[in-house]
Amino acid sequence: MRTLFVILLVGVFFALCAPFQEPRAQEAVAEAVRFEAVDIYVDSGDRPLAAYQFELTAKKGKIAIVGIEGGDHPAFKEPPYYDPAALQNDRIIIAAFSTRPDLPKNRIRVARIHVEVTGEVEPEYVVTLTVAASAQGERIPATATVSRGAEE
Amino acid sequence: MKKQTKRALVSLIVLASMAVLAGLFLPSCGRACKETSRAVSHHGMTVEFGKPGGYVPTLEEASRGSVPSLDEELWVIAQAEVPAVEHDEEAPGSGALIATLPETEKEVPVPLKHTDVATSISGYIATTVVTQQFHNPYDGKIEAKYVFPLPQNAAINEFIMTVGERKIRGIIREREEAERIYEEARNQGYVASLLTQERPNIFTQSVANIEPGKEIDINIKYFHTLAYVDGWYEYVFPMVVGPRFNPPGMTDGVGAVARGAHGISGQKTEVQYLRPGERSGHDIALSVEINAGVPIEEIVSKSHVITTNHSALEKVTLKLSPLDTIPNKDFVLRYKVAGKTVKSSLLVHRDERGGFFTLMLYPPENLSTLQRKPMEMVFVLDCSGSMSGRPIEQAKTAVKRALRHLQPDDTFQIIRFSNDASQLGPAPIPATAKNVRRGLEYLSSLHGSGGTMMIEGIKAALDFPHDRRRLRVVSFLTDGYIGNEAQILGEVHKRLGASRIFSFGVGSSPNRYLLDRMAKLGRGAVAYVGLDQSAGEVMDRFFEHVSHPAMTDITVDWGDMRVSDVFPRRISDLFVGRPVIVTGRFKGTGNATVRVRGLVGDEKRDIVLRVNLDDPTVAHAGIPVVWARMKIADLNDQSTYDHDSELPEQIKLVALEYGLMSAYTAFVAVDSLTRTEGEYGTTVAVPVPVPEGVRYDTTVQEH
Repeated sequence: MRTLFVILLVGVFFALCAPFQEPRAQEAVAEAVRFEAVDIYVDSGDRPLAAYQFELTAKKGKIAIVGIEGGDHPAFKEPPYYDPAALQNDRIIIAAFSTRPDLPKNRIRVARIHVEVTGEVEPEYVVTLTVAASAQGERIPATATVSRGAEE
Repeated sequence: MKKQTKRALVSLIVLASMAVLAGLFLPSCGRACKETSRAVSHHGMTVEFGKPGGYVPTLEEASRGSVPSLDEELWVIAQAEVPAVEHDEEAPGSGALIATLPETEKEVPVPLKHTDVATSISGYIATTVVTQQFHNPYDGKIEAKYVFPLPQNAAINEFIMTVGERKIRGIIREREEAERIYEEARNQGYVASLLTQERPNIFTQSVANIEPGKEIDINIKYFHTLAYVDGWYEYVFPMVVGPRFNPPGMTDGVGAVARGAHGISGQKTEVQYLRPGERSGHDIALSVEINAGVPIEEIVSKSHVITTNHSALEKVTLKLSPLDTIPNKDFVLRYKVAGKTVKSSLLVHRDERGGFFTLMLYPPENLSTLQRKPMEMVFVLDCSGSMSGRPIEQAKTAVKRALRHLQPDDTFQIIRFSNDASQLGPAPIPATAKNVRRGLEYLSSLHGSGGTMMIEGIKAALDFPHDRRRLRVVSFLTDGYIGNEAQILGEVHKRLGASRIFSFGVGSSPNRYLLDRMAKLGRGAVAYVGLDQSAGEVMDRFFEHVSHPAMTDITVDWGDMRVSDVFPRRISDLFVGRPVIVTGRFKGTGNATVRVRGLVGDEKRDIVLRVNLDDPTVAHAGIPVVWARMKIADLNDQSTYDHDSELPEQIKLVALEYGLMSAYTAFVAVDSLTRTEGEYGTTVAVPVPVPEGVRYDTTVQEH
């Protein structure tokens, strides 16, 4: 009986403390901000890649883009463009195109996205390739992958 | 699936078109276009300046008698014992400036090394890329801050930070959010940059964590429409912010303080000025490519020495002479194109956001054969300290010339203002020979000193009863060096009545935002009188315009175009030689007929325009951004007299949707791969020269 009373007392204590402790913990989490780079790769196989558009999201974690850098290949060296209207709705849509004659094939890094991460939840990035296109403006099969941190 | 692909490709093209937005105006661009002191120091920091053989002061030496805190901004001034070397430089810290003779200007180190300006002009659209090269000439990390001007109608939609070989595109965000991101990145040691707007023509560039010896470039891209007057296009690149006067009690103005005197103005934004006898190593290069589409008959710059290269009749490339690279006055370029090419015209553009148009209204040619009605001419002269010397002489010359143009049926008044306002007489007087002589005598007694209480001049000029038989023209002659633009524009709107405002900007770097907006609100026009220009000729041209009736009370019947969000809301009068641009959104298809109606005297006049709203060959991708920029300007004007709390939100939403800079949005860029050690270092303001012709002692706060 005495043990049961102690258990109840401890339970009541934690129940009372919880509402006070949790907001403080959440507040601390909300203040944690860090920056990281996310690399985006597009693999167009044996087809030369002239244009792409992708959307970057985070399934977990809170992110905001703070800079956009180009890729490795000269065709996509310049920083790509983002859609400011989409950004208004928390959507990160990025695109670029090139009319250089020496377009890249296979897997290349097309962009590096600088991201602010808020909170302690590790972001789980997802990249969705909306379109990849040839120099003739035709859609070509391709895949996109995302890699956290610079691989250089 | 095919539909989805098509939609994605369309949006890809829309995105990519941002890259070549300006390029779309450039017919020749084509494929190539599409390819796309005082510095705050750590205590005990050693400051070494790298000129071989030069003196290397330590911070202790440099800041003798004054220990800066980490959060304080200050310039260290070289000590008196510094040996005379050819290019002795200064260290972050504090101290006293060595007295120098005027003929031996002293170079002070600044974190802005060079500015490069590259402009392409096609038609009436200019696209400019400004590259600011920041560097760190000190031995400790710095944050550089630079307050600089851009054209007041610039639509800034691109911001790129270059760190070494890497280019990072900045992101447009709500201003507070951008500032927060920048501060977080700065405090964590990341290389970062932030661009904010303090006024439509004044911006602050901040670059954090520049390590010793390192360079960071900032590219800002914008475009704007050119002014067109009497067959001449005018391109202006402002190079320096003039020293502003802020009325007592104001805190969100633009302070003008001496180099190193950070914070003494009490204003939110502050410009530090080099003292007489000082110069910075910062210089400027400027090039302009013009593709006029029609032969260019004449091209001149009276502000700077230029070299020109004509590659074709309609194409010119010009550069600023290497002998004229000190950024202390506006660069003004004018060129005249052949023939009467400018006519009223309507351009449309349609994309997934809907339809957009710009309407250029040009006055009917036959206006120039008609005579005007009598005028009630009110001259308002700025006699503040910044106008002393050459500027006020120019203003007086202009008024003298104007008095001689007046006819006996006209009346006139002369009002002067500085700390207060006074005038020639209690009411406008007939422009008889005797009265004109009286006016000339009054003018001769005026000189420049004191503050710029422009509000007093506005009240005095607009508040007295209007003589309805006459066209009242109020002419402000000023450099516009004030920090309370919003208050002034609000008063103009409130008190305007039937008056028309003609603003005359005087000096080498006038506040073009204020003067342009006053004229716009006042349904008049603006003219600029440089220090080396003939003020009399400028006034002659003004009278050439007002000597004929304007087309007034303009309304537009848009026909089958269902228009909305048309700017400006109130269309200015059409004066001879001066077009007006109107922009808006539309719905509707097929052929449309637009009728512009107005009064010339008591007679009704029409301008009829026809346009095919579905013409697939017509695409003017820049029009949506022109519209967005004009909408922001209009909302901004509205906010000066209408304290609707939703206006800032509306401005912000438009700016974010179209990726444009505004008072409520800002560009931020963070390089998450370049993290530096330790605190973010010291904040170093970039001091600038006072504009040419402006006296330092009457305009810049020392203590």
